[in-house]
Amino acid sequence: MAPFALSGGSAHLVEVLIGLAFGFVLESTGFGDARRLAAQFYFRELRVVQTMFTAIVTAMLLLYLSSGLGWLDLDQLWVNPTYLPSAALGGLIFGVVFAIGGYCPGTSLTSLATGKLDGLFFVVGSLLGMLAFGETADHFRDFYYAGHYGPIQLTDLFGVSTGTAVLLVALLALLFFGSLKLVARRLGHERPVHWPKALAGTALLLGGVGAVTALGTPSLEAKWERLGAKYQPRLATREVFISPAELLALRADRDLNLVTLDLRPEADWNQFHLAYSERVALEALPSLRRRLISLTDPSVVVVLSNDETAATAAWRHLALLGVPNVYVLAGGLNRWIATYGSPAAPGSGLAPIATALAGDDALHWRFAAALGDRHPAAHLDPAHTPKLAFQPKVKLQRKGKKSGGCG
Amino acid sequence: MQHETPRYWNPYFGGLMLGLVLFVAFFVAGHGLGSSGGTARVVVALERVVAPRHVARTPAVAEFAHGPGSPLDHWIVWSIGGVLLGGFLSGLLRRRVRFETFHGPRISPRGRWIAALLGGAIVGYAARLARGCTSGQGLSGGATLAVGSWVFLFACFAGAYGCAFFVRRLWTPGREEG
Repeated sequence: MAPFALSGGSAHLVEVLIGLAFGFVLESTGFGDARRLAAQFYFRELRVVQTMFTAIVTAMLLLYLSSGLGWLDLDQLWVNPTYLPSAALGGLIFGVVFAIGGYCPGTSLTSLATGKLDGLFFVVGSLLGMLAFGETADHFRDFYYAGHYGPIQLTDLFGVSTGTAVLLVALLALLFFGSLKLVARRLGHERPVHWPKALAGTALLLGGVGAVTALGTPSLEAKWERLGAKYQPRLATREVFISPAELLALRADRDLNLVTLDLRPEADWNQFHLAYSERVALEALPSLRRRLISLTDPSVVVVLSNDETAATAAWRHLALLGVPNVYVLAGGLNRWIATYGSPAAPGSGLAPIATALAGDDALHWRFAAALGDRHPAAHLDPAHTPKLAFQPKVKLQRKGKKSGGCG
Repeated sequence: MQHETPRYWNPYFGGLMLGLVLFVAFFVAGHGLGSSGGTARVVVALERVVAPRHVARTPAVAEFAHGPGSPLDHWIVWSIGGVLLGGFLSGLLRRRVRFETFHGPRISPRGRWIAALLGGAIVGYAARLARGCTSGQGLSGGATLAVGSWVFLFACFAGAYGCAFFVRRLWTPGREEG
């Protein structure tokens, strides 16, 4: 299932070929000529908006269609992280100066490639501008990193299905095409609308939206059937199961953004749970996706249950949702309590349940009262807890390092 | 008036082709198209040759140069090489490769060069600020419904339409011509 993990020479060849096609299409569509680009903003030509938005809706529909058909795992694609203020201000300055310079970075390259001197000057200018950014950005670091929401999408923002979001984008493109044409015609530019073609194009677009809606997004169960082979080995080798001692070390790490999700029923939670953990039901995990993919680096998500069954199911769900750095507490809270609960201590009120069955994912300890996180084992002070040796399993995957984006 | 032979593609057809290329990039490689990131990496690579210690000390530069690898060791650098090649090929096939300057009827080539250099510099700066340009944010982020990319797109077009009137001398014929 796509995308493919390419590496080495074949990856470089693929990148060059993709770039080649990109440059070829840009030049063929007239994007190497600044006059044709700037004409957009005087309603003399509309090719910038027509080409860009046709490209966006085409790629969008093909992406969601291939996901609906199970050919492509959308959660593995690079999605630009949102930094609101810098995107808005950067975009505004970019647009203002686009109207002066006549190119954007990509089109200036195709212009340069065909020997246009204004393209050459633009490219030289942009190199200088980028040099200047690198040298000055530290003075407004806070602004540059402000408003970080991670790779959130319009579906997360509006809380709508992909079908609805895709429809909104398609309608927006139609609105732009129609209204700009109307203004251009009023000003005496552009040819009249060729209705048969316009209607055919609209029908094709809305047909695509309809197909995306009909196919929908694959359910987690369906995705596991296709992708399970990729993730199952990580469970089988137990590389994602961390010992209680490692969890304790993670809890003590102040630089780490640690989220602990407790998958157990409320009754068990009331008996005992770790301080700073959150109880969540398996079905509610998709609604946590937006928050979990947006955690500030470095971040780790630990899922736990009494034993491992519910936690492992949660790990599968989160892996399919594209959440990085998810780990399961090995042996669950039963082992945590066995390790740190010191039942022998007088007055602890803690006793193992003799009738417990191994691996039933039930709580194997009896408490004197429903203590929640008031039990000492719920908020251990690592400084005063015996250090137990453990084999570290957590390997942090930095979200920023994943290849992609314009960076 | 401006039509050269052979003519440019119909913009909707061009968009369809561009969308296909964008989709294939995502499908095969897992990421979209980009260009400003490639240019930025070339800048950092050059800077590192001249002043390696300065690069290591400047966070906004060093983020492209961390570790022993070269800042050029990134897909986007290969990709902009392809863009140059593809643009050249297309121009060659259509006999559009020649040294010339595209400028509005009311300014000289030299005036256009100054505008392009200045515009390029600020666009380069803004592309770094916005973490991408019309390719990486606009096309790739737009197609994957990234919220920040749609903010970028709207801000970009608002800026361009808002500014266009004030710089019309650069692009449009005078009133008497049309």
